[in-house]
Amino acid sequence: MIISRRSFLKLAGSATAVGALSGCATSGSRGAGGHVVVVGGGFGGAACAKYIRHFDPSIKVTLVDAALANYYTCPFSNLALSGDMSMSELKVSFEALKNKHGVTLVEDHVEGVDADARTVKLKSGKTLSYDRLVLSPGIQLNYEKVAGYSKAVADKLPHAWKAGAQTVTLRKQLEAMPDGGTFLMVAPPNPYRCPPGPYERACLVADYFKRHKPKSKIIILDPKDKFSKQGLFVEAWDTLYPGMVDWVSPERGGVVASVDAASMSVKTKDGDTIKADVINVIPPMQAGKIVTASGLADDKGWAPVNQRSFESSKAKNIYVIGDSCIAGPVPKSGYGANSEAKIAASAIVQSLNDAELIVPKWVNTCYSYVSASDAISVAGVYELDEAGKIIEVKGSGGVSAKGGKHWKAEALYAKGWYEGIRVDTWG
Amino acid sequence: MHHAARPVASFSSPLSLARSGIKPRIPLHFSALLALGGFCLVLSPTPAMAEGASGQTIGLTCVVCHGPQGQGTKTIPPLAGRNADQTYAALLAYKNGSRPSTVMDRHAKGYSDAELRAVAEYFANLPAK
Repeated sequence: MIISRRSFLKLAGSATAVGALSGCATSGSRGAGGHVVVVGGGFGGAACAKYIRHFDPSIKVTLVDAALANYYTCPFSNLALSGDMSMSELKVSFEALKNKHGVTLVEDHVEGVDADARTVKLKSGKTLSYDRLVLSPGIQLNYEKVAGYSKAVADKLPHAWKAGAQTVTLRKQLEAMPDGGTFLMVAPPNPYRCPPGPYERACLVADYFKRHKPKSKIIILDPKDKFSKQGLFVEAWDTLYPGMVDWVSPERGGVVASVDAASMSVKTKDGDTIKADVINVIPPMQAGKIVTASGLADDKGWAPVNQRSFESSKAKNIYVIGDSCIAGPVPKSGYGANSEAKIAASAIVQSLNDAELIVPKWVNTCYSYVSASDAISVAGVYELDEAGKIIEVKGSGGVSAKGGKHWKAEALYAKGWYEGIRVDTWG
Repeated sequence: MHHAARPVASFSSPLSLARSGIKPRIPLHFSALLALGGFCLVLSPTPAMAEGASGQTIGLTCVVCHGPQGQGTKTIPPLAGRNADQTYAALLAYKNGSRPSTVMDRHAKGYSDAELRAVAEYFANLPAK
């Protein structure tokens, strides 16, 4: 049987024959191999949708996201704040997922999941049935955890932690700020999306100030006593922007008690009131709303998952990937989400085909710009230990060498990374 | 219809189940078999964790920087179609620190020599741009 099938496949192995015969599967109407619904079109969800189709084109994949026409990447959005990248360059098109990879796109908001009935309910009133569900909704911002902050206040004190309108708002405020003004950032507590992000932002805002408003200051109020790539960021601040960036640790009074949009000030737990011209509040985070509302998160607000397959520990046939899930040392980054997406995609294809799981391995590489033309990086390679936990491979990974020797080269590689991951995820 | 422009056979075969270590216990769906170019019929025992990840599993993390199917980006070199021995030697040199790099040393140290060999062969079998 195997031989005859193989012979047939050899015969059928021409582009024309395969294209014609698999056309029925890619039309997405049959889904002979099952139906997977993916919620969230970011680095995790889009990559997962695409790779499920690659691994097994007989599976119908439907990707649901409320912002398909209006999606911008968070990575590189700090370059929009410094004026070194346009919003249109950050924008993502979902056309290739649909046209090249046969993913069915649904622009809608997911309101609820019924794990027993295997359905998701959409805002439009429609219901989608699934064999497997992937939730990759990113993060939700816990506005209420910062006294004085709310979604409405974020129009005046932007978080800009989801790229798009908020990025534009913060950029406009920076442009309007007078030379000699103060940019104040309220940094988030762990864990949060993009660990080096706040500090890259401080670098790029500093670079913009250095070029256009050199008398200005940057204050970062931080509830953490250490942060990602700290040594390298501090080195960059000291070298490139001496005296401009003041990182305030908890010990020095960095913990924020409240923010006040009316007086444009921030009160610290130590009792100081700091006024600023532009205030960027990055609030605490938890898993995306659909994950917490569906009861898939733990008491800290993040989704525990099987570390080999990314199937939820709390519900069968539902997989949670990207920022929302708990993946041990794999950071909440675009690369991390993309890497998790491929492992989850193969696990889903395997489960629908009653096949064995692969030996997984994950990778992360996060570049951070320290100026518009200099960058640093952190990298990691991850595997499962014998107990089934994700661990960083001993001796691998780490951050760039100190001394700025590779800043220029890594800025070029960062561009290549961005080009590559966009194509790998949405292209 | 889009497959006419980009044949499924050459597109999907590097991503085939068997190469990724996916071992079907039951036959895959007919259309999947076709699109996978036949690779999924290669039978091999279930890999033990100790054997490490497959060339494809690793390779699919490389393409994030090294471009679609390892064909490179504007600033990052391609891997597709490169001689496996040369790629393997370069990866070993990154791993033992004898070849200078910005980030590849940090990556190469994450894999056994067998895994580096497997990923070198994975890219050697992909078409150069």
